[in-house]
Amino acid sequence: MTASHEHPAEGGAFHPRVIVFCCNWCSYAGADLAGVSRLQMPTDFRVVRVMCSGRVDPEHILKAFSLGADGVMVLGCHPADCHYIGGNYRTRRRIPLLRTMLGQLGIDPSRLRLEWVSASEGERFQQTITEFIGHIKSLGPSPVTQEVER
Amino acid sequence: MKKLSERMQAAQEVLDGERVRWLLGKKTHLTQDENVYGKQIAENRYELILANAALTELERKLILREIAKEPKSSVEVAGALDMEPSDVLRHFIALRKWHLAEDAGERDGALLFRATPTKAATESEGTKGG
Repeated sequence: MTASHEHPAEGGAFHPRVIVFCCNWCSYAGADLAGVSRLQMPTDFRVVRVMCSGRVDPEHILKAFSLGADGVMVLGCHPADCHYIGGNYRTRRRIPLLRTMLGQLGIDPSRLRLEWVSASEGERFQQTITEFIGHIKSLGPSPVTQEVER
Repeated sequence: MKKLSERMQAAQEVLDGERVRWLLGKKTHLTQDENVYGKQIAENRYELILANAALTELERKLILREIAKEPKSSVEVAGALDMEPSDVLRHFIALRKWHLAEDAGERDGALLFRATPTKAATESEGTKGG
């Protein structure tokens, strides 16, 4: 995804670009379960599989926004369930800082969300994604995308 | 006001930096363990400190970008960044203390500051010259 890509808003409908970082052990398996269970959800998101939600550096999230993502979601194991013991706790610490920084930059902090989805929660994955994409649609395109398009 | 893309780049530099990462890494220690005076920092106080540190660092990175190419006064930088000149001057003093900015003479009675050339930039200049 690059900033030079045309925004896929066609015919008046806004299709947000949402990046979802999924941890390998829980959330990615949850996403897989949602797919296997044929649960219906919007297709406006791209999954980035990481070994742990703790692997998601704050820079990755800012980079996603600067390259034109309208929303970013980080999905990890529930607290105390991390495969690497404490990776999700580290993520939980970083996200509030990032949300504060997004606010300082003039980007709505609610465009970034952290959720916990376990391997058995396919339905929760579907609900979380559907709700988040609906929220991003209500917010409209990211100010970064708008600036690039001007 | 600077373009959002430039502000985003400055924010990435902040997250690269030591100050904010140190504060993030020390959260448990600062909020759960007692310091030498037997005091703990409350969670909301910690959040405020972190937000202030992030904002200060962001402003300093933007200022450094502004004075990297040519020396500027606090009023000129404040105009470009939509900040108060007094705040810019306060940042200049801190940046000079940390050897990140230096005096560059004066223009119309106003002190000029420029970003201290980094070692990498100096070396690349030397390579170009000879």
